[in-house]
Amino acid sequence: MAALDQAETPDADTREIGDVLLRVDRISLYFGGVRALNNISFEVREHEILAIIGPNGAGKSSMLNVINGFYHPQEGTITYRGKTRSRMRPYQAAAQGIARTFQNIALFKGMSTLDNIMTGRLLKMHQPFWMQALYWGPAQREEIEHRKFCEEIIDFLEIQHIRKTPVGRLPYGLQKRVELGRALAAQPTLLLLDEPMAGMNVEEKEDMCRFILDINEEFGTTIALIEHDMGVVMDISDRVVVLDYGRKLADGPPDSVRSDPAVVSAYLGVGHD
Amino acid sequence: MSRQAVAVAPDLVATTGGEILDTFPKLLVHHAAVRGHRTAIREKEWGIWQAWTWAQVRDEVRWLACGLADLGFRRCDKLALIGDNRPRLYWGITAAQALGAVPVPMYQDAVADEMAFVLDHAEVRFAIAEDQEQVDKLLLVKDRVPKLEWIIFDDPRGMRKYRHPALIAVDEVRARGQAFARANPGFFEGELAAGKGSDTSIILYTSGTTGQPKGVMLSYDNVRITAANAVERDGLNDSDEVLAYLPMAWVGDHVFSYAQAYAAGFAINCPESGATVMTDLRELGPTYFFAPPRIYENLLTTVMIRMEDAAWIKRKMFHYFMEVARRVGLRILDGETVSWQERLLYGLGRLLVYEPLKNTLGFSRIRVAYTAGEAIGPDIFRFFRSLGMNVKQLYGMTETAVLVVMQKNGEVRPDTVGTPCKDVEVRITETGEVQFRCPGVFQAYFKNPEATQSAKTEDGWFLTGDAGYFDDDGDLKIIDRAKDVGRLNDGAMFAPKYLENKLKFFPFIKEAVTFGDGRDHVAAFINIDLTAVGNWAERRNLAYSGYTDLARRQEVYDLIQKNVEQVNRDLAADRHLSGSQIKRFLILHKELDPDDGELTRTRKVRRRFIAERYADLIEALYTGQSNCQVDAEVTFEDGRKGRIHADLELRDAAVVEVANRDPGRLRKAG
Repeated sequence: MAALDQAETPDADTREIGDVLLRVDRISLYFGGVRALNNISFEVREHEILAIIGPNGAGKSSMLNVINGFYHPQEGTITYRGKTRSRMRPYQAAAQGIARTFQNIALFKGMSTLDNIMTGRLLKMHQPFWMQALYWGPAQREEIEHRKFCEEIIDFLEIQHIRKTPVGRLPYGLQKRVELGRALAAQPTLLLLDEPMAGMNVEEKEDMCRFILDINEEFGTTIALIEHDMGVVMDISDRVVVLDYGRKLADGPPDSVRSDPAVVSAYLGVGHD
Repeated sequence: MSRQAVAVAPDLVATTGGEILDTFPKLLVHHAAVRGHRTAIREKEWGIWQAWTWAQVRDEVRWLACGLADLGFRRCDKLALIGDNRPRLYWGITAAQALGAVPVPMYQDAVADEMAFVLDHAEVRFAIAEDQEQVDKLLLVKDRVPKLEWIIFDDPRGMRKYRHPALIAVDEVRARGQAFARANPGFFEGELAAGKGSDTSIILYTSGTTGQPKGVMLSYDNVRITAANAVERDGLNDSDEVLAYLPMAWVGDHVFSYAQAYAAGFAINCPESGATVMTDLRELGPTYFFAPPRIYENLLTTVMIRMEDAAWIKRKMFHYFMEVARRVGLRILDGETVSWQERLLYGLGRLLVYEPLKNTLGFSRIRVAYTAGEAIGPDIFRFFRSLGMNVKQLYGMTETAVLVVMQKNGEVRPDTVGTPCKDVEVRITETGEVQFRCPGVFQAYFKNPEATQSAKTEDGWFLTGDAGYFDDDGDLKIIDRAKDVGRLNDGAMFAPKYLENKLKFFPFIKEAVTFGDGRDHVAAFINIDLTAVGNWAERRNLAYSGYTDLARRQEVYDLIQKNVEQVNRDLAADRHLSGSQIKRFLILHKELDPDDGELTRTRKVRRRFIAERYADLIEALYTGQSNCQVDAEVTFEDGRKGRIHADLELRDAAVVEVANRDPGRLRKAG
């Protein structure tokens, strides 16, 4: 029987970190005279969880914005799935399997949880607009298929009880979860999370950690996240990139980053006595 | 015997192939044959109600049973079921029963250690767990329960990495069962036929407020006959719908959602998750509903809060028609005569308020609803009944398969629990203890003969430990635990919890402690409800600095005195309890608190502890003083201790003189 045939080691890690999925190479980004990113290079590998950390203004969100085509860096290249490019529009990034959530939640406040998540399926819908409006034939079948997918996400994120609630009425922690749901609806290869746990209490953080790990394990989604909570970062990420004033300070497994003196003085703080 | 001739639906009296339908698996096969296309069970999943017909359920149960047999599950083995109400767990119960094994449903929120006790005590060999959470708990204690061989899980989510040799997915068991059924035709039917009504059908562990939980063994006859009698009494049939949302390990769910569904052939509906119960309730609109008083109370609070936020015209309309309902609704429901003007007004109220409100709550189609477990506040009870919703009370316990005393339509009072069901004998002992002999009286506590002996007599009477009596209408009234019931010096019966509950039903009173056993009269400590009384004080421009200050105000004492005297008037009308009216009371200077050991963590009054701690106050209540100094230690939330000094006023409350009262003589009934 299957359960017995498997290796005797319980809880074996079946997830394998693969090839390079995304490589950013010598990226520099200016806003007028302000250097937001200065010659940054790093890689994201398939199926890994990469954390980007750094003090406020270090350029973390700018980095995510560059990756999903929201900002266009003046220098450097981005290689995603083997294709190198210097400029890309956000919708092209989305079409290629990059989805993200935002630091300040960017949901449609007046729409229900379900409808918000359905918008994540938009790029996967192929029937013409008027067919969808008539909700007939192939358009109906397509909608049912997408609805089923979204229901699976709702089940996965345990938000059945707010399926029909307008997201504007939801508490912050749940809105974050809905936003994650919308990103998942696009079936991303690479998921960018901008401070997924900001402003949450301990219990909500634990839930969110669990979901991030489950997404990574169940769907094999590669995740790059920005987070300030060091406990969370050290717990869930495979690798950590540290930024400070647009420069890269360190890049490596959590343990080595934690003990790096440059990181400690810039971010974690040193005793001044 | 007459007990076997249970009149439910005509087809259920009949026998199949000369055989009596005396077990649930046999009933399942019967339903599949007679109403195979009707819905037996629904579960909300992916946002939609998924349904299975009786015929489909029979197949699922057959495959699951065969799968279990294939894994080595045998007659008399124990199958634990842990999780929310899920179709597969209900099928698991029937599948185990089909094999002559005994299902043991367990509370899904129990921590691993509590689970270990039950798993070990019940000698569980197989377990069906709903999801990863339950599997984790089982794996945690597996080493301590060596008899546990297989953990079957329903929802595979998050368990991709699990490689424990004892784990197996329910779908795999089902697939093995299909193969097994093909290879062994007639196996399932053979096992089914070997079951009989006197076999143990289930072991339900009581939650055990004191000491370790006890496993109550109920036979098929216990559960089936009791359920069928209640089905007959309320005229339930196969078109009814219930929502299965209470814990499966609780006898209430087992009887209402499982046994009665089999007895009447109606459909049970599993909500999507614990958080969606209220939404699912509304979508479904059940016709038959059971809830503990707490749920009705929460619903009423929600309605009231939402009405406060409603537009003024709706608010006015609501309050006006609720007043009409209070006047007229109960009388209509009880079948009394009502003038045509009142009937017209009530009809208008139904159109404008009652029906829309019931629709919002999901109660539009309710034919019968029950509450039990503890005393329900008369206001809450009247609210739902005045809307035209037939809420009734019942009384019972795990050891009697619940349904022993129920209220009849048209004979519903807030403070009694009704009349005995069919085949139920009731007797009340000299000490006032209520005892039952009925088809539902359990077989024994599993592996606990001492407990069985002290709860059940040789000739089949179950000793409830509850004190009660029959009132003049022949309705049973439960007043307290028998061991807590005392006597005043003049011999009058004193039931502290009954008095305290009566006091606590007033919104201004949060807690009450009454004394009287071995005394000349009854006296009470009162805790005011700071929110309610505070609100009341604000509306009267009464400034106060905190609980202690508010509690000693003359105005507050006047307010509470009115409540106490109302209780006395109610008691005076009761032949048995008129002697235990409250003569003196005081309002405590601090709130009773679990941190100070005055309440248990579940907020039950620890009467003996309080009596010791406040001995001076009690003395003062019985010596006629009008004031008493008190100095008490309190524990703050951070663990520090402090002292509160106060000068408490002691008040007399008016007592209604009753001539010719019966000092608690209890008549026998049967």
